[in-house]
Amino acid sequence: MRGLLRRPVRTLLTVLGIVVAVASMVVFLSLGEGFRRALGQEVGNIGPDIQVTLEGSDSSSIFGSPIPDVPLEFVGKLQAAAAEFGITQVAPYLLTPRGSLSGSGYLISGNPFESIALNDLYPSLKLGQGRFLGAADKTALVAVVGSQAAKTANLKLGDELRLNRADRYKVVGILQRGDGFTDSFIFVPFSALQKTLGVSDKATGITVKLRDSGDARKTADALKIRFPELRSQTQGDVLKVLDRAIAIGDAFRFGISLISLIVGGLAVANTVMMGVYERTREFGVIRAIGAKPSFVFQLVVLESLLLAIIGGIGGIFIGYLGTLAVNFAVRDLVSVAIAIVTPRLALLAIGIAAVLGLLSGLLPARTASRLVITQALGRN
Amino acid sequence: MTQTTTAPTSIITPTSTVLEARGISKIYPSGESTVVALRDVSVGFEAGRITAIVGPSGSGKSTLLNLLAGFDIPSSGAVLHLGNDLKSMPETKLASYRLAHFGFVFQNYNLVSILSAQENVELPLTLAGVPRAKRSQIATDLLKRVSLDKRMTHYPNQLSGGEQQRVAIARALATNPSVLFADEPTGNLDSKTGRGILELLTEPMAESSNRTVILITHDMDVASRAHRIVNIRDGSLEG
Ligand SMILES: Nc1ncnc2c1ncn2[C@@H]1O[C@H](COP(=O)(O)OP(=O)(O)O)[C@@H](O)[C@H]1O
Ligand SMILES: [Mg+2]
Repeated sequence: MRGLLRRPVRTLLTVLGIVVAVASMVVFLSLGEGFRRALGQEVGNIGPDIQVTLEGSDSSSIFGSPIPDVPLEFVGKLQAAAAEFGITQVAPYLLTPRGSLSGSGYLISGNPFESIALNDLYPSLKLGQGRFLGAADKTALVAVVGSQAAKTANLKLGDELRLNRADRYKVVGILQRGDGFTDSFIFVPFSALQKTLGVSDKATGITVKLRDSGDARKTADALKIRFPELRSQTQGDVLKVLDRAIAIGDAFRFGISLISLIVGGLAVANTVMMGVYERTREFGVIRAIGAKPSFVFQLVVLESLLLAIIGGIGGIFIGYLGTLAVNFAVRDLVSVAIAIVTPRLALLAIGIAAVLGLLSGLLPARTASRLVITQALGRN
Repeated sequence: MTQTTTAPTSIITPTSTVLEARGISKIYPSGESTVVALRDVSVGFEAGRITAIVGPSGSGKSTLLNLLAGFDIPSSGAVLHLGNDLKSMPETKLASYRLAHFGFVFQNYNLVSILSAQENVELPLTLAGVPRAKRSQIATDLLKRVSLDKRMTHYPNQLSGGEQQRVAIARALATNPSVLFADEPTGNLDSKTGRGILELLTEPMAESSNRTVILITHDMDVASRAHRIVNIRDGSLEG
């Protein structure tokens, strides 16, 4: 154990190797954790009990196909079936991205404010300046802009937003900064956006509210039978899809960090192995005195484990600082903390460091425990 | 097992044999050929007696001691301690057996450099699972006996050769072993310091005057202090 302290520089470098490896893993995986948390909050906020899109359309987006493809006649059909399914409200929406979504983009959301006011559709939204949209705005070219979208599109109250050559939307409201994706939304009246986009009979999707949200799963299944051409997703479905997307991202990032983890593990193995060679005589002595091979084995594994866990703890700390830096760097692009070190991520990092230490220690430990005593002691 | 033997050079009356080599040989591979380091050696060591093994360099003294101490296994023949055949024990059992019954002093001290004098003396006790308080008590007593009670917290590199060897003797005696092995314990020391070490090894230790001591040396002055001298030459015992 104290053998590690005999070569302070080498030990320190090894620990640093682990620190860097674990820190990079922590930062990478913290991105997924941040997204996951933000999406959980957000979809919870949006809160349509059921979201209806066209079955078999581009499934890459949970909000529906980029090109509106849901015939509006389904709004009427769903409304007609409202009593039967316990539906309280049916509303179509148009959603179209502008700019690149990853960085400087925003989403234009067209909603029928004549049937539901903006602050009823998203109860968690808070107005910063101006006003919300309501029934009077049925076809008006007006917009309420999320705080992040306002920044990216450089919009102030009273400014005009051009969505095509002819249509200029007047900014009548700016939202307060929330902590979700609606910050990157620009809300405009449904009918106005229909005209701007030149789609008269299609929507991106339809939101359905139920009398009892607890029935969402059952109702979605029932709707599926009645309207086989529609895809009815509950909030849970949406979260699941998002979670899968994040998990794929996690796997990819973990793959990248695995490389540095393996390098870190090799560094530990190297340090411990060199330590074993240097202390051949001393291991020989304690074996001669009467230590069992298994004792020597454990001693070396423990040493390796200690090295890796110290590195792991340091890695979590440095990784945490790294996430702060990431969040600071992208604070103008996204309003949520995209990188979060959750307890389970910290636990995972320690676990992986420990496994790393254990594995790296095995070979040196085997070498140490199998020393031939007479050779280890050397010739007198 | 009690058995009476009369070794050729024994100057004492027959007594109980603690450790015995029966026709042991050791052959080392050496490149294409082999080296016969030990050839059909039979010798017994009695309780409470000090035996000196003497012979020129390369004659097989260390090889014999390594086999007697269970560090290595003879190519043929058997080593018996109190009737137990060391060869038949798996390494794990043999290690425990060494810990329980044998003590070792080496030419180059072989203290563990990262442990203090006291921790070195406690090492075999730690391995044996002796509680901390008891360990500390034993180590303190032993270091006092080798006049190092003021150097207990010192590390090997802070001690002279003679002092290190005294710590090594204390360590070898910590488990109160029935057999004490010493391979040229004074080989690295000047004659005056060596004499002090030898006195420690050969003085009847208070708690066990029944201890068997096997001492390798090529110094006849040293050997003369033993009860008995075993001569070895070219891997064979000499009458
Ligand atoms: N591990 C070994 N491999 C090969 N030859 C060895 C080995 N150990 C000892 N020998 C040889 O065995 C002979 C006896 O060695 P050793 O017992 O160390 O003699 P001593 O201790 O009397 O000086 C020598 O010729 C030596 O070279
Ligand atoms: Mg020798």
